[in-house]
Amino acid sequence: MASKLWVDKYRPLTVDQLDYHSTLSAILERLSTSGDLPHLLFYGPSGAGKKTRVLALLNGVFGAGVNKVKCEVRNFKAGTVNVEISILQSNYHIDMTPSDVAHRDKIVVQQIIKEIGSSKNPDQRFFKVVILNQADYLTDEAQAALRRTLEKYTATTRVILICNSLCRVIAPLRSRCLSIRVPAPSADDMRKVLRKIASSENLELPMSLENKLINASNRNIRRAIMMMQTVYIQNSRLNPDASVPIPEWEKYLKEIATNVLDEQTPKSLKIVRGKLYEVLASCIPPTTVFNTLCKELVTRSDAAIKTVVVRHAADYELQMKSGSKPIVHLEAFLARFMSVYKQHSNRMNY
Amino acid sequence: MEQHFSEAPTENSVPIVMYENVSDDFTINRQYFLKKASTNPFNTDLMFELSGKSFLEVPISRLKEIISENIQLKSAMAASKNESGLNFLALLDKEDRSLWMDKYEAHSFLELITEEYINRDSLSWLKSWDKAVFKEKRTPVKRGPFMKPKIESNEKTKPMLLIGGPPGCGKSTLARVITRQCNYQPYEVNCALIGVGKDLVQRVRNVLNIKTVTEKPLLLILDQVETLDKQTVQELNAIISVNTKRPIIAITNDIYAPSLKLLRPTCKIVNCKSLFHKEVFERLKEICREERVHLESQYLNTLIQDNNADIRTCLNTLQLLGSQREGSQFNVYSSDSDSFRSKFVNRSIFDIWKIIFTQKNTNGLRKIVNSFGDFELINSGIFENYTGSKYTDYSMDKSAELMDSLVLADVISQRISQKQEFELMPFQCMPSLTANKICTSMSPEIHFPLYFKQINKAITETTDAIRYLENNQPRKPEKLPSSVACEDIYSFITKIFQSSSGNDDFDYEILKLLQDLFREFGFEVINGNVEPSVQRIVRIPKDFYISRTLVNNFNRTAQVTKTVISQVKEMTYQDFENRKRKRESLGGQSLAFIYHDGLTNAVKKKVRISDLMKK
Repeated sequence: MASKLWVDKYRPLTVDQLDYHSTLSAILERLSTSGDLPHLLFYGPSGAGKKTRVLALLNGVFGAGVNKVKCEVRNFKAGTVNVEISILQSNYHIDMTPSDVAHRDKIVVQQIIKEIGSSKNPDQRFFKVVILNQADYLTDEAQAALRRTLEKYTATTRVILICNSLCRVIAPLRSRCLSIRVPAPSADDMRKVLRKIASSENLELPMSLENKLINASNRNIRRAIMMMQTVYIQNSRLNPDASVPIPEWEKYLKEIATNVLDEQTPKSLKIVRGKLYEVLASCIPPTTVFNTLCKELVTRSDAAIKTVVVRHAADYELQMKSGSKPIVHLEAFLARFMSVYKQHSNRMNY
Repeated sequence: MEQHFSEAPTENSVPIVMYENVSDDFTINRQYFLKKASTNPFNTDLMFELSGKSFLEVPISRLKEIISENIQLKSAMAASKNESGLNFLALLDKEDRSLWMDKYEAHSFLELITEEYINRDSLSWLKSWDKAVFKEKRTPVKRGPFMKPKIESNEKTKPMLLIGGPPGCGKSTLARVITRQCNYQPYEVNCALIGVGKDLVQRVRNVLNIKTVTEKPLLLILDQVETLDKQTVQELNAIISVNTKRPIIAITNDIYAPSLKLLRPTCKIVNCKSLFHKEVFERLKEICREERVHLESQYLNTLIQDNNADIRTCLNTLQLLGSQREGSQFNVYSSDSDSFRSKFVNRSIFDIWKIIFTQKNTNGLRKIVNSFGDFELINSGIFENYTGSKYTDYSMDKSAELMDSLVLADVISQRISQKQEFELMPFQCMPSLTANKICTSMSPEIHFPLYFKQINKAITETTDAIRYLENNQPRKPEKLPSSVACEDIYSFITKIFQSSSGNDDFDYEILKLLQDLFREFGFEVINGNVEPSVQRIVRIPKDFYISRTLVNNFNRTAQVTKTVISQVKEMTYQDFENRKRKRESLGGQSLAFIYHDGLTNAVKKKVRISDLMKK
């Protein structure tokens, strides 16, 4: 059954269907025809099309069989504890997100690669591919373990790491992989994709809506397509005057920013805490919350304190990575921002 | 006789209780007539002599004599001390080898500082045994002219006295003193030190059956009875309930300990409370004077307060301080006051939060927090309650500082749990100190921190719901990590499925698309409800309603498929049931319609003439 979600329906399946980054596509094309792969490390912002490119590359190497996947839940024994992880599997590759199991990811990564490495492949192909999503969220131990495992099973396995930021992948791992950067699509790229989808759906995409979508989606093509479809469903057509649907959590974070800018008291911190709770509880990663809040606060505050705010945000986010309670760090950042903001406004008044 | 005790109470007098048998119940007359017997080491022998004879036997005239002798002796000693100070010091050093708590233990009934009614109660209980133990050996005449506790034992005397109370409130001393007072020989057994219960039972039996060889009969004092196991308590109970020969005294910290459940109804129960601060203070002051330890009242008070009026600990602490002295005088200055705080009673977590938020500049706060140990709990309590505490913070500096220290504590605790760097542990009290610094003395309403637990629970719930949803989804070539999916895909669910403002009529095409999407996301409609509920995945707009038209429509289609399936199932079931019967009925010379023979959907039916004629 063809998917009805446009994000899935119009996903390019092969390398030559890819819409933008033509130079990158050429490299991928060459890689796929060579029949062999090095270990790869795809990095770039969310919604740039990393995963699509990985799958298109695999499609080029192994053929359409890559798209026939089954989902299964696997159990791994870590000492006395059972670790459960759901993976997608085809004959040629395994796709998983080891960071789902938090600090036990090391065992999962090692076991999976070992398992594949020590078994024969059904096809005449001599290797199988393991895709690890969110490689930057892997713990240091898991990354260190991966470094050895990569070398040991080179004969039978290729690993493709996908991550947002290179800086959290340890250097030895980076040097073992061919790093491929997938930048966020430019406005023109996005325009091209959106128009293509609209025309395949026999819809007319007005210029004004198109611009609004591109602005609101933050150069995230996935989000832009979801927004477009939402507009279509709400209005039965792509209405040029329709307001672009913004995700609820983003609205909430904007509200938080407004609260913080309006009133700098412990009381307002308490209100903000309740809102943060809702956002975090709906599984929005704290890093995203940090980024969004910081962006919002910086754009709406005075130029003189912008750098200070950004520096504080970076400090607290770094500390959050080594802590265990994101909410404390978020609130600490907001408290610090209030302090900075208030002092600045006091100075301005005198 | 009145004139003997009609003196007005003075500072140095102690109450003496006199029983007067007026009518049925005896009234208690309290008179203050005796100068407090001093616990000076030089006259203890005198006091021993007194208690050995049983204090109450001695006529008041003799008591007076003893006191005047005492006073003379004291002044003589003081004089001799003046002559040869060295000698006195040597004597002191020798004395110092015994523990003060033994040295200054109350030796007579009058010296007890436990509450009077408890003392009296216990004594009268023990006295009631006199008849059974001493029988005709004693003549009531010997017992002084005015102390005649003629207690009519209407009810059967309880076989055992159970004294309960917190540590250091004088339970053991009370037991020992009343034992000697009534002319028994105390025989102390600590139950905790006896490994096997049988040993104890045997010992109890021996003591109860022993014939008094010496002049004084033995009296068993069982210390820490709550440590006995159930079986031993049962056996003990069996013994004492038939015991009429000797009284037994049992001492415990907790009379409501479950192991003592059986003993409680058979025992006479006396429950000591912790001593009054004033009594302890006076006694300690006296001892300090005797030992030449000079201690400011203020510190003595803190000492008592910190130790919850546990006189034993107080004495031990004092002796420790006293042993560090140089020369005959010892002064404790404020700088030493910290050394008192060696032992802390268990504070509840709420007490600690209260101290943090209300008591300004508490010196020992770090120690208090460290001794509690559970930093995680303390810090999360601070995190949740500081916004409730009223403090002025115009520049928001204080809040930012507090949050910074909480951040630090979080990082440290994570580091400790990951890398076992326990040397960082002491730094975890940082938030407490910062909170103490910024908060005013206004008491906030402190509630137990649940925020972190709640948020973790909520996140788990959401991930579970998403996992459930994803298992329902038709397979896709790509599976997004759940956090990314929440950010980009699921957050639009509410927008897509929300009933657009009042207008619930969709175009046919859109409705069909929505239904497909609904299924594709993995939602189901069970009994008219969407499963899993959308609110569990996207929590934020609380007032979200999924389009009713969509649900109803979906419901109908689902129901149709369901009924079709159930009908089919029923038919096959009936087929199985009837097959045999049918086959039998088909036998004979009849004609049969056979279709797909040998397959699962085979049909074999008897054909009647009427069937053929129908058309």
